[in-house]
Amino acid sequence: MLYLDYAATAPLLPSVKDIYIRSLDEDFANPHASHSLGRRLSTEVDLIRKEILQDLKLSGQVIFTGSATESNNLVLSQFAQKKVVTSLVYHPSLLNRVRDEISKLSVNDIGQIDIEKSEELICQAELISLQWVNNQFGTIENINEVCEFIRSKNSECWIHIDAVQVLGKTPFNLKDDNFDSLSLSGHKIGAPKGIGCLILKEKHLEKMNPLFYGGNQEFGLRSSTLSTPLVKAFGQALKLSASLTEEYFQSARENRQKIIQILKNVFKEKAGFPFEERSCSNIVGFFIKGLSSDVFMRCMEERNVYLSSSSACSSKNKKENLALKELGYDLKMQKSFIRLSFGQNLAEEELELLEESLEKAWEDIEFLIS
Amino acid sequence: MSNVILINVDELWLKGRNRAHYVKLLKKYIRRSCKLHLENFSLKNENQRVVLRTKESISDDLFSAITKISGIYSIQKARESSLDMEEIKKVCLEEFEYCLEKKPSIKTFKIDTKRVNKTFPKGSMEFSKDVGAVILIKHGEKVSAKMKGPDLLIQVKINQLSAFITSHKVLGVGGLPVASSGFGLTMLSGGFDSPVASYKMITRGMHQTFAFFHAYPFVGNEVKDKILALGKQIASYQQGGLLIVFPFGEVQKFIAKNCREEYRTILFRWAMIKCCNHIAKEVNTSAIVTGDSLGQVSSQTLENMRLMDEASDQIILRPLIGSSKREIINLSEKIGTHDISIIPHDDACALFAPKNPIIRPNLGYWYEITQKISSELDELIVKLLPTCERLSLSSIRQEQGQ
Repeated sequence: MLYLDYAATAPLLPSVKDIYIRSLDEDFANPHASHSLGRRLSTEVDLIRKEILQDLKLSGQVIFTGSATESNNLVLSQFAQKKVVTSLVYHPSLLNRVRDEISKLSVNDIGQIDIEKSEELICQAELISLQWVNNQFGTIENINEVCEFIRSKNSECWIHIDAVQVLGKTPFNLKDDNFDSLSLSGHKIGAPKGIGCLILKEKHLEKMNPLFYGGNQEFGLRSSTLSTPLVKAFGQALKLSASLTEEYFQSARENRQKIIQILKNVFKEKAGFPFEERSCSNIVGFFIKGLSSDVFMRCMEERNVYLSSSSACSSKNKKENLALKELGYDLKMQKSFIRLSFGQNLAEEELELLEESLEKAWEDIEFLIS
Repeated sequence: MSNVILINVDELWLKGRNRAHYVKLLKKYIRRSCKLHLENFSLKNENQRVVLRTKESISDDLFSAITKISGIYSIQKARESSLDMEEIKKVCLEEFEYCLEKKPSIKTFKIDTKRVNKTFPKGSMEFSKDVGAVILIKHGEKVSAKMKGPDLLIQVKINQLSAFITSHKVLGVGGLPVASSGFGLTMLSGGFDSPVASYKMITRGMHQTFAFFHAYPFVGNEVKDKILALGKQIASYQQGGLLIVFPFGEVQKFIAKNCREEYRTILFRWAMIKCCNHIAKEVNTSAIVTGDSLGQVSSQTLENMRLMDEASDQIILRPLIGSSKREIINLSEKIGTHDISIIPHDDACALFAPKNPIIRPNLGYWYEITQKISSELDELIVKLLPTCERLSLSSIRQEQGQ
């Protein structure tokens, strides 16, 4: 099997799994309980909060949530009837809650913000939500540059960053002054599903309202008993992905180039790679002109190679791909978009398997676009 | 007294000496439905109809299950009385009051008596008047008798041993009992036509197995869920059945590689007919049913259909051949398949559609290509047959009853 859909969900990392399973056994107590068992867990969780901030070189407070979608919604819910500025090329969790109210940032043809053209909107905004790495095409935003521009034009504006696809895919080099809130997800970096976090600047803690009410855990922002095993698994996965070095990213980029070369060898001029230049090292988004990416995905699935025909969060939606539409691609092109995403670098034999599977699949379906 | 359902049989008057066999089959299907809903009941042939009696209450589910059984003209909920005239009147009054309570807007009524039992001491007209009088004495302020177009018609059927009183009649699907005309294999797709074609053959007494040609990987597995839902709906008229999902993508790849583009669609059709002939041997069916309607799409021309017939050892039945799309859609609404058929799904036909599909094949090429690939295709079909998914179309409750 060759799994090439890490941007949807990464498999559990072995050391994360070990910590998780051990913690399921040992850390059964309620971390909010006042007996010593509970207090021990509470201390350990607080330590992980600190380590996360250290690993990312950020300051603020870590609020554990169920997912990055929840983290995004928690922030967006503070801005009802306010001026929210974002882009339609982003993940639906940044859009759907405020769809009727948002103002659209201008983007270039690969989905990066055009700050000059967006200046007027930026000056009026109360919240600007940004996605650092695009989950579909892999485009990396010039995050520090954009944030500094926003700060210089509108110092009151809240900057929220969805950094879900960043860890393990491009160096995490956000300057501490450049955000107000930032969301992360566990299952994209090798932890289980069901855990994410919001990193929030301390000064905002008091002003925030929760999405739901109960025992006031997580600084009153996320009532629910915290799952210590999930927090520990998340902490470990985050530590591993935040510690990746420049050498790793260099070899990942080389690996990515090899994959693109294989795709070009197989599909020749039929394949288009508009996002190649500014994409993160672990996502290849491309088009095969005239071919349904759903059909292609299933042809690869028959050969035990798993990839994505669009973002998993919206793949049940058979209609439009709003992000690609925003970039000006018509419906036919939207339906021919394919995403490969990977974790560790592929070994030689995996690259060979990929090439062989692509060739065979192409042999089966080439007649569809002849 | 028991709860009674009178089941009037359709078309059996046509059958002369075969009648007993047909009624027996019909009772088999009625009994199956009853067993799912009732602990104790009896089914008897009385005066050309089947009478269901039970002490238990008859649920709407059971009633509607019986209305779906092919071969039934109509179904009536009835009350039963002894032949004592006073008791019959009393039961009629009960039936009237029951109806009035359910539908207080009733202003007029009529009593219609039919006597099979000629020894009954009163004439039909006279007895109807007597019963009407009983009702009018009690409810004359609210209702009156009306002979033409009454709001409520209560029928009194005087038989040899008892009388039935009924004000209720629902038409069944009619036709002949399932399996009385043999067994068929129906090519089921996600559109309107094939489920309707299948329904029409069920009501002609044909029990069917269903074949779905699954164009995976060219279409997704969601299509299969839709076909399963359609199959279950259709099979509810024959109390279950089997859906065979044939992995047709392999066949499509094979054909696409070996033929001219404009012949793809018709060769796919030809390959499906060949598959059906193979499947039919396995499931013991003796006809293939399709949803073809003359001229509806380019493959449904006389010439193309003749070529399909040539390729088939089994007779191909096309019950919708003379139906318009509107007729087909109307019937699909009636039988409950319409709302499933309209669910959008990946369409392999559109994916493969040649720019100019063949309306009149060049026979020279046709015979050349079909001869050339026929035996290799047969081998492929035989290889794929054991990999077909075989799905039951019975609901769980029905399976228990079978």
